[in-house]
Amino acid sequence: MPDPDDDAALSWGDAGDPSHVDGARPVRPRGEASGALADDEDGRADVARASSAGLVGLGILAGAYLLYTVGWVLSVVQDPFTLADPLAQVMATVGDVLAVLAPALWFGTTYLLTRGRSVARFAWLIGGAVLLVPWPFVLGGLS
Amino acid sequence: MSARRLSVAPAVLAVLVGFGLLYAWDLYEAIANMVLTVQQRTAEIDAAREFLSSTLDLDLETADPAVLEALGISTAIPWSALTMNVLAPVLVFVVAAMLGRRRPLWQRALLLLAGLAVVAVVTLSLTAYVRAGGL
Repeated sequence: MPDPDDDAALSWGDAGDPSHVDGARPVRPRGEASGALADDEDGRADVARASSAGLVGLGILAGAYLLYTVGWVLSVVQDPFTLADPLAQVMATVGDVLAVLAPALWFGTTYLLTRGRSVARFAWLIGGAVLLVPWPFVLGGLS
Repeated sequence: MSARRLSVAPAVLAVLVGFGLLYAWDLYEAIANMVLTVQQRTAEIDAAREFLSSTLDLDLETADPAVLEALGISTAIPWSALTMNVLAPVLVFVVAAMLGRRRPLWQRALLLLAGLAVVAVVTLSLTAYVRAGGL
């Protein structure tokens, strides 16, 4: 016969529970802050639902961009070069570094500049996922 | 077009010109690459034409494509890749500058930096594409 207190660990308790902690209130995207949603309760639910679906999508895209970064690192490492012109050599090296940073720069720029505009955010992120494929790695892997 | 639209804050102008120079370098490299590639390919094609007529009594223009392929002779110049490589810095600079209009200076700079990275990616991708046999 277990101690009845053991069962307490299996329930969520209620708001009256002294250990109850309220979840963070969903933050409304800036564009919707003007109160277009009259019903606060419904509005909050909508935003919460949208942002959780959005978060999953954002996570998937972030993962793809991370893989792209790895792909670009491998692409650049696979192809060492020496150019006669020192300026050309420096600029080509800068280009390699920029190529590695490109997925992070695209993701970060899109994220920062599309706050509250999730359609634009996903359009730009998907566009970037098409544009930034590390082709040198993909094609190099085949040959 | 009014004078007001043409006026640009000095800091904005400095960012546009500074990044513009870096884009201009990419454009210069792309044009140089196009010229050198075309010269090199033309020389290779001329050498192949000479070889065919002197040793096999064949005309490059009328020879069987299968024979040329067997000999490893290609008359192709990767025009589409070379052209895209030249257009990329111009297009990306324009798009990044347009997207930055009416935005704070640091956002303009961030857009132009991200654009520069896109140009680097496009150049490396096109190079890999041509090396893999694309045109």
